[in-house]
Amino acid sequence: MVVYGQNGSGKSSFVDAFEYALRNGKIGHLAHEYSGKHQEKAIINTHRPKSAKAEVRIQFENGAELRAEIGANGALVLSGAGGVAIKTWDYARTVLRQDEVAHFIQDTKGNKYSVMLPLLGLGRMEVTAQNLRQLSRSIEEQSKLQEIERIVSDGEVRRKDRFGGATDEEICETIETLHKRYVASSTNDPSTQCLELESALDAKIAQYSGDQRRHLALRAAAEVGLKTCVDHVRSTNSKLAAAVEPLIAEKLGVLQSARAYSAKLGKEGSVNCPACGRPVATKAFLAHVDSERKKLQESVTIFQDWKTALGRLCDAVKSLRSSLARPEVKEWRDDPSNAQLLKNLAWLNGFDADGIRVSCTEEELKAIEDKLLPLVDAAGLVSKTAPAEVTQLSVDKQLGDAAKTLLKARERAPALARLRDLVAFVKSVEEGVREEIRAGSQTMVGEISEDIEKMWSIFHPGEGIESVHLYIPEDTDKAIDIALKFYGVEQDSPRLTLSEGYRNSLGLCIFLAMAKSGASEDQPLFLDDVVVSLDRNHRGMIVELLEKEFSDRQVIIFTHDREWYTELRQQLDEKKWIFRALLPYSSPEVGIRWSKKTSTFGDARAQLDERPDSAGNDARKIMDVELALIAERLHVAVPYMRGDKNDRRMAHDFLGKLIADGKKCFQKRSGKDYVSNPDAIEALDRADRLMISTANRASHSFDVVGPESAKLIDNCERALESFKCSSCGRNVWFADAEGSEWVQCQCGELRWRYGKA
Amino acid sequence: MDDDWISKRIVEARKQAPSVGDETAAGIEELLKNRLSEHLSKAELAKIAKTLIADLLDDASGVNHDHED
Repeated sequence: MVVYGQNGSGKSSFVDAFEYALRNGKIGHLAHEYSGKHQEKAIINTHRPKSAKAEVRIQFENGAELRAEIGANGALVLSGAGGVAIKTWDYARTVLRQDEVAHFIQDTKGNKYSVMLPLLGLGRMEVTAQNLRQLSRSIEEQSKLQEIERIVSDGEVRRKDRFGGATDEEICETIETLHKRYVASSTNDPSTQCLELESALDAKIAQYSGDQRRHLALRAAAEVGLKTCVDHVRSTNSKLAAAVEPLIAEKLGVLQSARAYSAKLGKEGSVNCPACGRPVATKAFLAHVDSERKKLQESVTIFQDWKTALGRLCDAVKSLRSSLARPEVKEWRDDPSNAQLLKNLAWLNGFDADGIRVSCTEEELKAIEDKLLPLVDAAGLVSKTAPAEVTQLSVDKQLGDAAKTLLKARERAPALARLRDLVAFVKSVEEGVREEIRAGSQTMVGEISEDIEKMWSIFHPGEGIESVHLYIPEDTDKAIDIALKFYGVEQDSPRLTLSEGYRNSLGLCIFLAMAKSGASEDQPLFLDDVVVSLDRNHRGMIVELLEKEFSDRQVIIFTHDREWYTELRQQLDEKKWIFRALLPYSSPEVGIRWSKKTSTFGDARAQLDERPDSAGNDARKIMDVELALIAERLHVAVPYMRGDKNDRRMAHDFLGKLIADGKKCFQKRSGKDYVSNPDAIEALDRADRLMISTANRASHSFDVVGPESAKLIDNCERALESFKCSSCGRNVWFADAEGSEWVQCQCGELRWRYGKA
Repeated sequence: MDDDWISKRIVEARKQAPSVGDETAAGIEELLKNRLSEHLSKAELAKIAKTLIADLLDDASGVNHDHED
């Protein structure tokens, strides 16, 4: 079906109604801040009488009727549609509107993927993959995996710092010795020893004088290991900058799967690459996977080392702050000779230590060195004068603390390993699902791309833009994009080289290819003013495309383009297509109105009262287009004109030739014979005379009055109707008649012998 | 993605994560077959995660008790 209507005549309301039913009471372009919660302010006619219902009804060929009643508050009640699977008709493959034509092309890769997902039939798998991803995140969060990782890592770091290369037995011996030194009771359990040692040391410190406690606090500040931590962060910063791989986690995931795949291969022969499908020697494939995995594994190690270094620096800064904030250090802080140090201390107190757990720039490292190392050095200087007993206790306390941290880490290590395995397990299943999605997507994308390429070649035969296809980018999941060759040069996106008009025709090809893929014959297509930016040549290809690819589908085309509508009426098979015109919109009380005729003279008549000159002018424009097409259909020979003048012939030029040829070529049946058709010639002649007088004045001097234009319109309409049979309703060029030179209407009442004028 | 595929995938995943026990693996397999292809809220998934963690840690400590789904 083709529906013509001027702008504002109500064409899109039909599409809106369909979208409303399809999307369960939502119309995308009407969803905005002014349309009301249920779009009630935008959907319901502003002048609907209170007694009238607002509703959408869709009738189906099987007799079912879908009914959507819209309440005053926008509430929707849907009923009917028995036996019609309308809910499975996704909007993106059913309706294409003027402003949506290039949407797909301009959309992000992710949104393209989302649009195509239901089409690919992989929606449930994507949901599964998303659930698995969220599940692994949730396991990490709820088990506090990161915190446990930090505890375990901290334990190892403290061990290295305080015990160097000592074995577990040696560490236990050290703890036992300390325990004996400070605790009277006896136990063999290292954890209990650590706890008892801590309590005993705290009790001893509590008995210390203020001076002893000050020495202890300053010694603790001096031994936070700040310089080592800064150096470690600096070194890992540079290693990270040199070695880190983008998307490292994703790449490792792929390699993990590739490794599992390669484990099933024999060592000899060749294998088809699971990514590109090309044959690769098995040995080379295995070696490549292994070397890539090692390379990435090194990056992972560097990344983890960097995170550890940041954590240690953060802890050292916090520990320094805590030691220097103790009340027993007040005297040292208040010493007037430490004025510069006080400024540094103020900087330390205002510093966001937790921030460097995430990242730490070279500037921040320099600031830490400039501001905090003098504090550490000053504290170290004072602590050197500490009594021997205090120094010994400080060393013992640090050993005890390190041992306690180490034991805590040991306790958590098995749980950490199990939790990591659980997360790896869920991620591995997710990766498997994603592989399935990728494989399924590749197949579907390949099939749809073939259709896009085919349709594109119908639209743009022999042009330099080719190999238009969808592809799945290698570097990211959940993404689809479009590539093409522009005069032999590969382009990653049509947005790089295609003009707006070409993007629109590509958008149309993609929509039609998607609409064709996997859809049932029942599913209609709505094309709402989609040819606005296409030129006449390319617009004309749509007919070929629809007839070749969609002959078994119901297609509803809406257009405001009178010329194209006329072309469609002439070119599309009248046996299969219905043509309807909408009258121009006059008021909300009157609403949307169908014209009783399939022609577009309704537009002209609507202007008779207000603008009779425009009415006459419109009639002439309609005749220019209609007669050009009729002349073409009837093979009427017109004199050659130079350049684009060939395309600028006027109604009068065609009428003159049609009248002259028609006298010999246009015949009607009389009994068993055919005779000339003087009524038709008379109608054409009358229209021609009015074209010269009234239409010319309407176009140039604007002094025609309503009745004159009305007469012109009536006679133009009559002239065009003279080509249509009053018995069968078909035009004279409807079918080939006997012999190769005759065409006729369906019943044979009218006929035309072309080429023999 | 039928039941057979899921079972095979679970076997593959266990190779990557050997410490995941039979019960935990069976639980995830059951979820894949029955629930994870439906839209689940974050709260629902958090509840599932909680159960899996409890299973995992109970497995490790030898504790065995019933818990809510």
